[in-house]
Amino acid sequence: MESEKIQTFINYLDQRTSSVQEDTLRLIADNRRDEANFEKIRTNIFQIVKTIFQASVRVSQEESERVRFLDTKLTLFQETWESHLTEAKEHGDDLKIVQEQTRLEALAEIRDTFQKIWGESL
Amino acid sequence: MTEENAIRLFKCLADKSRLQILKSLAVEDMYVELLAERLNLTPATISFHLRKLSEIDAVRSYKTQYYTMYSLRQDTFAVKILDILKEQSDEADLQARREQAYRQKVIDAFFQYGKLKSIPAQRKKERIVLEEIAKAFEPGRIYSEREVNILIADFHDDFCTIRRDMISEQLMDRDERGYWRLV
Repeated sequence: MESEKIQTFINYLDQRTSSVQEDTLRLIADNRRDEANFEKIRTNIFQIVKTIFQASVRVSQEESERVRFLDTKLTLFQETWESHLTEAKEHGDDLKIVQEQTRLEALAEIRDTFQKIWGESL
Repeated sequence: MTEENAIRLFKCLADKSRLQILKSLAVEDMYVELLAERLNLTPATISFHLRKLSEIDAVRSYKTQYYTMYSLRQDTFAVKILDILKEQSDEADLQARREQAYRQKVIDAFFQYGKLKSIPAQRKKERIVLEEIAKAFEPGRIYSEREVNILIADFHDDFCTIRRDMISEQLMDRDERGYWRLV
Protein backbone atom coordinates (compact mmCIF):
# COMPACT_ATOMS: atom_id res chain seq x y z
CA MET A 1 0.00 0.00 0.00
CA GLU A 2 1.51 3.34 -1.11
CA SER A 3 1.57 6.26 1.31
CA GLU A 4 -0.73 9.23 0.92
CA LYS A 5 2.21 11.43 -0.12
CA ILE A 6 3.26 9.02 -2.87
CA GLN A 7 -0.31 8.82 -4.10
CA THR A 8 -0.59 12.63 -4.11
CA PHE A 9 2.61 12.91 -6.16
CA ILE A 10 1.56 10.24 -8.67
CA ASN A 11 -1.89 11.84 -9.02
CA TYR A 12 -0.23 15.20 -9.63
CA LEU A 13 1.97 13.73 -12.40
CA ASP A 14 -1.03 11.99 -14.01
CA GLN A 15 -3.14 15.10 -13.85
CA ARG A 16 -0.42 17.28 -15.38
CA THR A 17 0.21 14.69 -18.11
CA SER A 18 -3.49 14.82 -19.04
CA SER A 19 -3.72 18.59 -18.95
CA VAL A 20 -0.58 19.06 -21.08
CA GLN A 21 -1.90 16.46 -23.54
CA GLU A 22 -5.09 18.50 -23.79
CA ASP A 23 -3.02 21.63 -24.43
CA THR A 24 -1.16 19.74 -27.16
CA LEU A 25 -4.39 18.76 -28.92
CA ARG A 26 -5.67 22.32 -28.60
CA LEU A 27 -2.48 23.64 -30.23
CA ILE A 28 -2.72 21.11 -33.07
CA ALA A 29 -6.35 22.12 -33.66
CA ASP A 30 -5.16 25.73 -33.66
CA ASN A 31 -2.60 24.97 -36.41
CA ARG A 32 0.36 25.52 -34.08
CA ARG A 33 2.09 22.22 -34.60
CA ASP A 34 5.62 23.27 -33.60
CA GLU A 35 4.37 24.55 -30.25
CA ALA A 36 2.33 21.34 -29.89
CA ASN A 37 5.57 19.40 -30.34
CA PHE A 38 7.15 21.40 -27.52
CA GLU A 39 4.20 20.46 -25.30
CA LYS A 40 4.77 16.81 -26.20
CA ILE A 41 8.25 17.22 -24.73
CA ARG A 42 6.65 18.60 -21.55
CA THR A 43 4.26 15.62 -21.35
CA ASN A 44 7.19 13.31 -21.79
CA ILE A 45 8.95 14.78 -18.73
CA PHE A 46 5.94 14.14 -16.46
CA GLN A 47 5.74 10.58 -17.79
CA ILE A 48 9.48 9.96 -17.35
CA VAL A 49 9.42 11.17 -13.76
CA LYS A 50 6.44 8.95 -12.98
CA THR A 51 8.19 5.93 -14.52
CA ILE A 52 11.37 6.60 -12.55
CA PHE A 53 9.47 7.05 -9.31
CA GLN A 54 7.51 3.85 -9.83
CA ALA A 55 10.68 1.98 -10.73
CA SER A 56 12.40 3.29 -7.58
CA VAL A 57 10.56 0.59 -5.65
CA ARG A 58 13.21 -1.76 -7.05
CA VAL A 59 15.86 0.33 -5.28
CA SER A 60 14.06 0.28 -1.96
CA GLN A 61 10.64 -0.26 -0.42
CA GLU A 62 11.32 2.61 2.01
CA GLU A 63 9.58 5.83 1.03
CA SER A 64 12.47 8.00 2.24
CA GLU A 65 14.93 6.02 0.07
CA ARG A 66 12.66 6.28 -2.95
CA VAL A 67 12.29 10.03 -2.45
CA ARG A 68 16.06 10.48 -2.19
CA PHE A 69 16.53 8.33 -5.30
CA LEU A 70 14.14 10.51 -7.29
CA ASP A 71 15.69 13.70 -5.90
CA THR A 72 19.10 12.55 -7.16
CA LYS A 73 17.68 11.77 -10.59
CA LEU A 74 15.92 15.13 -10.83
CA THR A 75 19.16 16.92 -9.90
CA LEU A 76 21.00 14.96 -12.57
CA PHE A 77 18.36 15.86 -15.20
CA GLN A 78 18.57 19.51 -14.25
CA GLU A 79 22.36 19.61 -14.57
CA THR A 80 22.26 17.79 -17.92
CA TRP A 81 19.54 19.97 -19.43
CA GLU A 82 21.09 23.17 -18.13
CA SER A 83 24.34 22.22 -19.80
CA HIS A 84 22.47 21.40 -23.05
CA LEU A 85 20.73 24.78 -22.84
CA THR A 86 24.03 26.62 -22.37
CA GLU A 87 25.49 24.74 -25.34
CA ALA A 88 22.42 25.55 -27.49
CA LYS A 89 22.67 29.25 -26.55
CA GLU A 90 26.37 29.28 -27.44
CA HIS A 91 25.51 27.93 -30.89
CA GLY A 92 22.38 30.07 -31.41
CA ASP A 93 20.34 26.87 -31.83
CA ASP A 94 16.84 28.32 -31.38
CA LEU A 95 15.02 25.00 -31.67
CA LYS A 96 17.17 23.32 -29.02
CA ILE A 97 16.88 26.38 -26.76
CA VAL A 98 13.07 26.07 -26.68
CA GLN A 99 13.26 22.29 -26.21
CA GLU A 100 15.68 22.51 -23.28
CA GLN A 101 13.79 25.40 -21.71
CA THR A 102 10.57 23.38 -21.93
CA ARG A 103 12.25 20.43 -20.22
CA LEU A 104 13.64 22.67 -17.48
CA GLU A 105 10.27 24.41 -16.95
CA ALA A 106 8.52 21.06 -16.50
CA LEU A 107 11.27 19.89 -14.20
CA ALA A 108 11.09 23.06 -12.07
CA GLU A 109 7.35 22.58 -11.71
CA ILE A 110 7.79 18.94 -10.69
CA ARG A 111 10.55 19.83 -8.19
CA ASP A 112 8.33 22.50 -6.69
CA THR A 113 5.54 20.01 -6.07
CA PHE A 114 8.04 17.42 -4.89
CA GLN A 115 9.45 19.92 -2.35
CA LYS A 116 5.95 20.79 -1.13
CA ILE A 117 5.18 17.13 -0.49
CA TRP A 118 8.50 15.91 0.93
CA GLY A 119 10.40 19.14 1.64
CA GLU A 120 11.09 18.44 5.28
CA SER A 121 12.44 14.96 4.61
CA LEU A 122 14.93 15.97 1.89
CA MET B 1 10.55 31.42 -56.85
CA THR B 2 11.60 27.77 -57.28
CA GLU B 3 9.14 24.99 -56.49
CA GLU B 4 11.26 23.91 -53.53
CA ASN B 5 11.27 27.43 -52.11
CA ALA B 6 7.51 27.70 -52.60
CA ILE B 7 6.98 24.47 -50.64
CA ARG B 8 9.24 25.69 -47.84
CA LEU B 9 7.39 29.00 -47.77
CA PHE B 10 3.92 27.43 -47.62
CA LYS B 11 4.98 24.86 -45.03
CA CYS B 12 6.44 27.57 -42.85
CA LEU B 13 3.38 29.77 -43.18
CA ALA B 14 0.99 26.93 -42.26
CA ASP B 15 1.33 27.84 -38.60
CA LYS B 16 -0.93 30.23 -36.74
CA SER B 17 1.77 31.70 -34.49
CA ARG B 18 4.05 32.44 -37.44
CA LEU B 19 1.16 34.07 -39.32
CA GLN B 20 0.42 36.17 -36.22
CA ILE B 21 4.07 37.25 -36.09
CA LEU B 22 3.97 38.24 -39.78
CA LYS B 23 0.71 40.13 -39.25
CA SER B 24 2.29 42.06 -36.41
CA LEU B 25 5.38 42.82 -38.50
CA ALA B 26 3.16 43.96 -41.38
CA VAL B 27 2.02 46.78 -39.09
CA GLU B 28 5.41 47.76 -37.67
CA ASP B 29 8.93 46.43 -37.05
CA MET B 30 9.27 44.75 -33.66
CA TYR B 31 11.76 43.08 -31.33
CA VAL B 32 11.47 39.61 -29.79
CA GLU B 33 10.26 40.61 -26.32
CA LEU B 34 7.52 42.88 -27.70
CA LEU B 35 6.25 40.13 -30.02
CA ALA B 36 6.36 37.68 -27.10
CA GLU B 37 4.25 40.00 -24.97
CA ARG B 38 1.72 40.70 -27.74
CA LEU B 39 1.31 37.07 -28.79
CA ASN B 40 1.54 35.62 -25.27
CA LEU B 41 4.44 33.33 -26.16
CA THR B 42 7.86 32.99 -24.56
CA PRO B 43 10.75 34.98 -26.12
CA ALA B 44 12.49 31.66 -26.90
CA THR B 45 9.43 30.45 -28.85
CA ILE B 46 9.28 33.74 -30.75
CA SER B 47 13.01 33.46 -31.58
CA PHE B 48 12.41 29.92 -32.83
CA HIS B 49 9.58 31.09 -35.13
CA LEU B 50 11.59 34.09 -36.34
CA ARG B 51 14.48 31.79 -37.21
CA LYS B 52 12.13 29.68 -39.34
CA LEU B 53 10.71 32.80 -41.00
CA SER B 54 14.24 34.08 -41.69
CA GLU B 55 15.13 30.79 -43.36
CA ILE B 56 12.39 31.34 -45.97
CA ASP B 57 13.31 35.03 -46.37
CA ALA B 58 9.99 36.12 -44.86
CA VAL B 59 11.62 38.43 -42.31
CA ARG B 60 14.90 40.28 -41.92
CA SER B 61 16.58 41.63 -38.82
CA TYR B 62 18.60 44.74 -38.11
CA LYS B 63 20.25 46.09 -35.01
CA THR B 64 19.30 49.31 -33.26
CA GLN B 65 20.87 50.80 -30.15
CA TYR B 66 19.05 48.48 -27.73
CA TYR B 67 17.28 45.79 -29.72
CA THR B 68 17.49 43.49 -32.70
CA MET B 69 14.44 44.54 -34.72
CA TYR B 70 12.56 42.31 -37.15
CA SER B 71 10.77 43.47 -40.28
CA LEU B 72 8.64 41.86 -42.96
CA ARG B 73 10.34 41.17 -46.29
CA GLN B 74 7.78 42.64 -48.66
CA ASP B 75 9.58 41.24 -51.75
CA THR B 76 8.96 37.62 -50.66
CA PHE B 77 5.23 38.23 -50.40
CA ALA B 78 5.01 40.22 -53.62
CA VAL B 79 5.28 36.99 -55.65
CA LYS B 80 1.93 35.91 -57.15
CA ILE B 81 0.76 32.40 -56.23
CA LEU B 82 -0.39 31.97 -59.85
CA ASP B 83 3.18 32.58 -61.04
CA ILE B 84 4.42 29.85 -58.69
CA LEU B 85 1.82 27.42 -60.06
CA LYS B 86 2.83 28.17 -63.66
CA GLU B 87 6.49 27.27 -63.04
CA GLN B 88 7.76 24.08 -64.69
CA SER B 89 8.97 21.16 -62.54
CA ASP B 90 12.09 19.43 -63.76
CA GLU B 91 12.23 15.78 -62.65
CA ALA B 92 16.06 15.58 -62.75
CA ASP B 93 16.20 18.72 -60.69
CA LEU B 94 13.66 17.27 -58.24
CA GLN B 95 15.69 14.08 -57.94
CA ALA B 96 18.82 16.09 -57.14
CA ARG B 97 16.94 18.09 -54.54
CA ARG B 98 15.58 14.90 -52.93
CA GLU B 99 19.11 13.53 -52.77
CA GLN B 100 20.35 16.77 -51.25
CA ALA B 101 17.52 16.73 -48.70
CA TYR B 102 18.42 13.15 -47.76
CA ARG B 103 22.09 14.10 -47.35
CA GLN B 104 21.15 17.03 -45.15
CA LYS B 105 18.91 14.79 -43.03
CA VAL B 106 21.77 12.35 -42.46
CA ILE B 107 24.19 15.18 -41.66
CA ASP B 108 21.72 16.74 -39.20
CA ALA B 109 21.15 13.37 -37.53
CA PHE B 110 24.81 12.45 -37.11
CA PHE B 111 26.47 15.82 -36.50
CA GLN B 112 25.82 18.16 -33.61
CA TYR B 113 27.55 21.53 -33.51
CA GLY B 114 30.18 20.25 -35.96
CA LYS B 115 30.98 17.05 -34.00
CA LEU B 116 30.15 13.55 -35.23
CA LYS B 117 27.87 11.92 -32.63
CA SER B 118 28.48 8.35 -33.85
CA ILE B 119 29.76 6.56 -36.94
CA PRO B 120 26.72 5.38 -38.96
CA ALA B 121 26.36 1.60 -39.27
CA GLN B 122 24.68 1.87 -42.67
CA ARG B 123 27.24 2.22 -45.46
CA LYS B 124 25.26 4.78 -47.47
CA LYS B 125 24.97 7.04 -44.43
CA GLU B 126 28.59 6.52 -43.44
CA ARG B 127 29.65 7.55 -46.97
CA ILE B 128 27.74 10.83 -46.59
CA VAL B 129 29.32 11.45 -43.17
CA LEU B 130 32.80 10.68 -44.52
CA GLU B 131 32.26 13.01 -47.49
CA GLU B 132 31.35 15.74 -45.02
CA ILE B 133 34.53 15.13 -43.01
CA ALA B 134 36.59 15.02 -46.23
CA LYS B 135 35.66 18.68 -46.81
CA ALA B 136 38.06 19.55 -43.98
CA PHE B 137 40.96 18.50 -46.24
CA GLU B 138 42.24 20.89 -48.88
CA PRO B 139 42.25 19.31 -52.36
CA GLY B 140 45.75 18.81 -53.73
CA ARG B 141 47.53 19.09 -50.39
CA ILE B 142 49.48 16.17 -48.92
CA TYR B 143 48.95 15.56 -45.21
CA SER B 144 51.03 13.53 -42.75
CA GLU B 145 49.19 10.79 -40.84
CA ARG B 146 49.40 12.92 -37.70
CA GLU B 147 47.75 15.89 -39.48
CA VAL B 148 45.01 13.60 -40.80
CA ASN B 149 44.38 12.24 -37.31
CA ILE B 150 44.22 15.72 -35.79
CA LEU B 151 41.76 16.95 -38.41
CA ILE B 152 39.52 13.90 -38.02
CA ALA B 153 39.73 14.06 -34.21
CA ASP B 154 38.00 17.46 -34.45
CA PHE B 155 34.95 15.47 -35.56
CA HIS B 156 35.25 12.18 -33.66
CA ASP B 157 37.65 10.44 -31.27
CA ASP B 158 37.85 7.26 -33.35
CA PHE B 159 40.08 8.83 -36.01
CA CYS B 160 41.71 5.48 -36.92
CA THR B 161 38.44 3.93 -38.11
CA ILE B 162 37.41 7.07 -39.96
CA ARG B 163 40.83 7.45 -41.61
CA ARG B 164 40.80 3.82 -42.78
CA ASP B 165 37.18 4.09 -44.00
CA MET B 166 38.00 7.24 -45.96
CA ILE B 167 40.71 5.28 -47.79
CA SER B 168 38.44 2.30 -48.46
CA GLU B 169 35.65 4.62 -49.66
CA GLN B 170 38.20 6.22 -52.00
CA LEU B 171 37.68 9.65 -50.55
CA MET B 172 41.40 9.77 -49.72
CA ASP B 173 44.51 8.02 -50.95
CA ARG B 174 47.97 7.51 -49.48
CA ASP B 175 51.55 6.54 -50.35
CA GLU B 176 54.93 7.02 -48.69
CA ARG B 177 54.59 10.82 -48.91
CA GLY B 178 51.32 10.91 -46.95
CA TYR B 179 47.57 11.27 -47.47
CA TRP B 180 45.55 13.41 -49.89
CA ARG B 181 41.93 14.02 -50.68
CA LEU B 182 40.58 12.40 -53.85
CA VAL B 183 37.13 14.01 -54.32
